[in-house]
Amino acid sequence: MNPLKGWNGRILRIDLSKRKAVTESYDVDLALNFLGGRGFAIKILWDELPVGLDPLSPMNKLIFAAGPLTGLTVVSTGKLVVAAKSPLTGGYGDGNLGSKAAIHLRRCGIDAIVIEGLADKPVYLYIEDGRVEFNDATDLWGLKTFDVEEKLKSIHGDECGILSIGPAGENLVKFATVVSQEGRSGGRPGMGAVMGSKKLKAVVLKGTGNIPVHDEKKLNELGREASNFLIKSEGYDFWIRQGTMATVEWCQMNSTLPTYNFREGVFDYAKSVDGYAMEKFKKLRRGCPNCVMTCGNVIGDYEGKLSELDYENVTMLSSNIGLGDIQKVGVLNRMCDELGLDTISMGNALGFIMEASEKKLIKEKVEWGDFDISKSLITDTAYRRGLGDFIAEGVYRMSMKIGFESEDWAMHIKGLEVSAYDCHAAPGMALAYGTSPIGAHHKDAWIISWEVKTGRFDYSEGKVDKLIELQRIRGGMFESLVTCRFPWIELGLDVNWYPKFLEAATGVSMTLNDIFTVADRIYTLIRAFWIREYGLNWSRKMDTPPKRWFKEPLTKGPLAGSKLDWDKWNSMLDLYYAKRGWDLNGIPKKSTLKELKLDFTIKTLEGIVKLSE
Amino acid sequence: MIKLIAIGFLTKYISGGVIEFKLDSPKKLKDIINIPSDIQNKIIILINNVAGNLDSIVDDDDTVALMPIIGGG
Repeated sequence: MNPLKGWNGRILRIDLSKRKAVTESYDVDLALNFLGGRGFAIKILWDELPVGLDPLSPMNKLIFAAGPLTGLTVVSTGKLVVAAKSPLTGGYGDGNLGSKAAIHLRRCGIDAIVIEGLADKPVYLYIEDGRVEFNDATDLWGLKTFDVEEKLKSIHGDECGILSIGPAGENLVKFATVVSQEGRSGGRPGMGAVMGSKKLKAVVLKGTGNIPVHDEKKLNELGREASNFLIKSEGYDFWIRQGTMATVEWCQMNSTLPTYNFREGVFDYAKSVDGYAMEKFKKLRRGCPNCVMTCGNVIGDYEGKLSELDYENVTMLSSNIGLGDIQKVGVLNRMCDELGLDTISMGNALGFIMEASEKKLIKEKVEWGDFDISKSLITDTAYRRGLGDFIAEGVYRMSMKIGFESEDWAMHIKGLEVSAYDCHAAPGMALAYGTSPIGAHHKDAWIISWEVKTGRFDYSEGKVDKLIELQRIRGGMFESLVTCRFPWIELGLDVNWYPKFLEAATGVSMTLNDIFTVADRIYTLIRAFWIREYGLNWSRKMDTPPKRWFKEPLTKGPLAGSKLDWDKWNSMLDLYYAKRGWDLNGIPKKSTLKELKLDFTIKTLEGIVKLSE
Repeated sequence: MIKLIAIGFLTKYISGGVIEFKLDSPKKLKDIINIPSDIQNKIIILINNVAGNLDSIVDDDDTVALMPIIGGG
């Protein structure tokens, strides 16, 4: 019997090699110490993966995890986390995506699915409440994600939730994602490749049960109040118009728009790809279930098809590659979604290739802003043909092969391509990227507004404190409660609503500080996982941003001449480590591990690296 | 001429997003633009690209940008 409310208390385990599915109860301590989502994922991966495992081996575990708020009647809860050891970075990898699948997963009476093994031929899983079918996917193998979803809906109905991979995942592209609902994509560090390596084409979920909650009346009341707050908020109407696309204009104004492979922070054609340009071609809005502030803006693209845009996709496939036409960008974005490629890494990799071509470090001619070549390269990447096979390995591996100091402008950290914010004049954001637990992604902390408001060029202790606070909220709380951060960050829903939601859902009373302790535990366990996998190859260099931001100043815009200061930035990293209870190489101290109830990691880590007391 | 620029939802306070006018003498920013008190902590103000606030003194030839605090995706 499940002693908990809010959590279902069960995990579905699937072994594709044996075609076996088992539902098992988990210990209450897992829920209380790790909450869900990312917290569950890292605990399972730490406990169950052998050290040094090839991420594409059948023994890697692909995890879909919800949290105690997922699927409930509070704001924007239609999300799930997908996680595994990453084939792109070799460390911990995860992502979140909004999908009906998240709701169905919880309605199936489970909180997570852990998938291991390798199917003998392509399969898709159909999970309906407690029943699991291993269905032949031979006819689906090779199809693009939109087509897979359409076919599976025709079999299982429109209301089910579907998670699938495209050709990129099948072909083990290292930045292949998992896709749902024609444009909802998650798992940048190659979660789609892990799924493909198991010959798993799709997971279809249909749940009809109720999610157990502690106080349904209170939960509904809080949900209504929070929704009303959002709808009445000052920025709501503009959010509904432009969503995250308003960020293009903001970043252009603040010299943080990634431009020409992050050489610059402003783009001459920004107005052609901003929120207003998008509005001219906008057809509809889409988004996750249970959301009153849906963020997906769908335009008619250059080829007359629908393409769901948001800020990161657009800038990485426009300013970062020198393409100033929103409808053409829409085509590239849609192609990535169909093929199951991460738009951010793809745009970053295209920028890298364009620069390599400009510098004549590759024989192929790939000019900035060339739409047709970009299209071809996206397709070739997904199918691993020609130059695309090279791109499919990601910018870190490309730069290792090319050499000639290309490492300086290979825009990645820990192997994950930098997402869509230039940091020449944003030292705090560079630290956020450096210390993000999956590599250079912004979901864990985005600090640029705060930097602009309080001191753009400060390398201060206050900035480090703010960064850790943001990581606790975004990367810790939201990724483990598994609910969307947008109500808080974009429309100002106070963060103190979330402990109230949690208590109404579960009956467990946790203060924000209690949740932050869980967040710190999750962060430090993820860090321990990286150290365990990298062993003696781990150093603080793994947390260091690309040299471009330190060596090559901006040449355009109001902040021309700006670049990061190496010594000051490293002092900030030292301070960050100290506040986290990690040593000067970013390795958790033994006392920190004990304090966070992570004693179980000590023996393993001591066999690999020297732990400070 | 002083130039006021607003982006995002703040364009409702500066029609068209940009206005320019002659400022005869230095003034506090809050004396030349009316921003409701309940959103003052939700905005960023840059005066000639340096962070400022509604009590900052502005003069002719200054450029003032008003931006929402965004969360960055």
